[in-house]
Amino acid sequence: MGAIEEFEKVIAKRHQYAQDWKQKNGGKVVGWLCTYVPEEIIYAAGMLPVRILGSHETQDVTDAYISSIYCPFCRDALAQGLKGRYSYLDGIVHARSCVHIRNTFVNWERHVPIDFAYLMFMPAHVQSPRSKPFLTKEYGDFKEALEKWSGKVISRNDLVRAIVTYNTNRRLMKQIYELRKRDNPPITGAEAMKMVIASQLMDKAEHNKLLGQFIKELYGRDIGRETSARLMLIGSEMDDIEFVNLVEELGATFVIDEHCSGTRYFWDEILPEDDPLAAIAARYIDRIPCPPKDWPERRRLPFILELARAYNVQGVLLYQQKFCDPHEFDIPTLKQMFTENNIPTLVLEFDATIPWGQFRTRIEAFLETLTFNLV
Amino acid sequence: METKQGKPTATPFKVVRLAASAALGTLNEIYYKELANAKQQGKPVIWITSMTPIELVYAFDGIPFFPENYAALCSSRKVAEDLCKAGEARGYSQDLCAYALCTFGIMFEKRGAFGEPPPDPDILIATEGACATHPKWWEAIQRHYECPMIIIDAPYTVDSETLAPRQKAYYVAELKEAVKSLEQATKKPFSMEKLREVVSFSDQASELWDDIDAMRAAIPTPISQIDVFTCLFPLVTLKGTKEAVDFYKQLRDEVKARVDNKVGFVPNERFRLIWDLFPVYHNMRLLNYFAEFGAAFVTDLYGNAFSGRLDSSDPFGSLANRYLSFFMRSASRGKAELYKKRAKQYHVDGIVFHSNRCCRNFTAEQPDIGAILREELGLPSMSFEGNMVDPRGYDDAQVKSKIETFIEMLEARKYPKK
Repeated sequence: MGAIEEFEKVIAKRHQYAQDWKQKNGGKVVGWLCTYVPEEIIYAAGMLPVRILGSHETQDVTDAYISSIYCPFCRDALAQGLKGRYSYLDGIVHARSCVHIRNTFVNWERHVPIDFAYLMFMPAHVQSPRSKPFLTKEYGDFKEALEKWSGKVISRNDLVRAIVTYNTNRRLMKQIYELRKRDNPPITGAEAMKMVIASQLMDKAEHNKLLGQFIKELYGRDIGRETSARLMLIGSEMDDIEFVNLVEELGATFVIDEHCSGTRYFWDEILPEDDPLAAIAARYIDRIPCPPKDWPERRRLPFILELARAYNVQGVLLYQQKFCDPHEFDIPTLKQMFTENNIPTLVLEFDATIPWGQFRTRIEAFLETLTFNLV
Repeated sequence: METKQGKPTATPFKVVRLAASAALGTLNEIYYKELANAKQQGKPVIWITSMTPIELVYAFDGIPFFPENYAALCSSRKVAEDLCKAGEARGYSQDLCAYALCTFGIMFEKRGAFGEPPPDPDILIATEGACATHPKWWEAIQRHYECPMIIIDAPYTVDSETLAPRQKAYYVAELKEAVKSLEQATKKPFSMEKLREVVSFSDQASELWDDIDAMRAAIPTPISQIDVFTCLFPLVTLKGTKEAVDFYKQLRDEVKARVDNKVGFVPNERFRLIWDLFPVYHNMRLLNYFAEFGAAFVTDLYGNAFSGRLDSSDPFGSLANRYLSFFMRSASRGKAELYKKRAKQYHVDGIVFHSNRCCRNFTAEQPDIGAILREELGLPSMSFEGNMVDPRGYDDAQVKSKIETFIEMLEARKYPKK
């Protein structure tokens, strides 16, 4: 089976994967809700961190808990818990980010049976020199809580091993992303997304093996069609592979992204320093920020523009989950930045559980303009 | 109130205004005059968010300006919808906080509640302490005015009582950095003595507010929810000044006299309710519609969010305790406990939730709070959708019909026909 098929299999059977892992390794499975959760510490404890994702189905089980003015993703994620699809989870961890996903955590803790629920404070003022030493201590508390829960000490070596495994994962995915700079990228946007989402659901050591296999397969690989318009996908939470697929079928290729199932998840590595917890903290403080943590200076902007240039992007899809306030505040500024740099944008507001077909005409029109520009 | 065929009927009544309203009007006038003249007098105009420690602004002799409060004013002056639309025309989503959208309208269109826009900011201060929207909103304002901006991060935990000493220290460090930035921006040295004085005034105003709040437990309740929202202005904008303290002394005395004489604001109080949470600024009279059925709001948490005791012998430490224990920061369980306590203390019959469509941060826990109060106290609730500032999407007839149904239910519960 090719690596892509393996990724697809894990995504489709994510619950089976986690339960098999549990049976094989005898460890606990811990769900996380935001990419600000330091998975490395959980992994160092011999546990499997898995991202809690929605199922993109319409549902009516969350209305009593989270009203309809919250992002569809946070409701979809909670719905999975309420429906018992994550009943194998031993714990759930969240690090402060936005109010939407906090709601998922708070309601999960109250209404879904779970052995261990932990909310850590993640500074929003990451640009302050105080945030790193502070977060290091928060991580110390988190590590202790995990130790108390599991009855096992997390050693320095455990942490270093986890860091190395996670860094390897990031480096390999970045290498694969690097190939997307080519005139004819060997993978599609949908394939890249499958790779990253699988990473969020799998034991990183196993994912690393698959990445090794994937890199071998990439020698001489092509996507079997023209690259056409080179697109960038920017926005909030995004794991809608079907959407990415369908845009690409209309005659385009996503060559780069900035969202939390893409670069924002894995781009930055952990640099070695004496205290492994401090090293992990530095990574989460300095990583490409999510909008709620991008102040007083908006550091996302230059990073995004640099990516767009490096990947020779011809058009940008700026999408947001409906009601996602942090992204709603950034989108006008991003749009303006791209306009000033002569890169066309299309803004899309998403409801993760509503068929995306309504966007088809707009996307087709957008792609036509791009092709026109290219000619 | 007689009920015909079980249907309650509204009985309009004459609202007796508070004598303190006149003093409030004067305070308002003086404030807006000072704001308009600030620049000539060399005082910095400092735009701040709610839950920004306003005490720092007064300690630096600045004039605080609250875009939130001002958006509320725009809403009551019926100009907010247009201003929000102007913000939307610049690409900002209609789903965003209407306070923010309204500010964007003011900023881009250069007009305000009375035509003229408020003075441009010399300094911007925001905090994460109330919501994550504030820093993003301020960032957009800063991009427009290009003035110095200070943002104060505030630790968040599910329950503010579980704050670790480290988290408090983090916040104090944020405050001290804000002080340094204010020294640079105002070119004035920080005076601890001045801060102590401001903190003392702030504490006195809060203490008086808490007294007034406690008196609302009297039967009949002495003042209306409209009075409470209206009289909040000094606690929001002038907290830290002697003028605010003087005003609340007068108000406290007036409310106390009403309690002593058993004067209620509704002629015949039949039901006592909790209001959660934001006012409907474009339709404040909605609150009186409840009163027409003899239903009085006897407590809320919105007003109290602006009150907090401080200690002038430990200004920074007490500011941290005060702003980090802000009740809205706690999740549903924490808020529900507060309401449970109040429900008993204030002899409450039910709770009304204003599901404020544009405020994700403080509407989040409403379904859960309602469920907890229903399950643990048997307290009934009603919920209606609205928007604190923007009248679009608010259906007055529908809301009133919901109110009638709710009153009917309360009637059957509290005064069952034998």
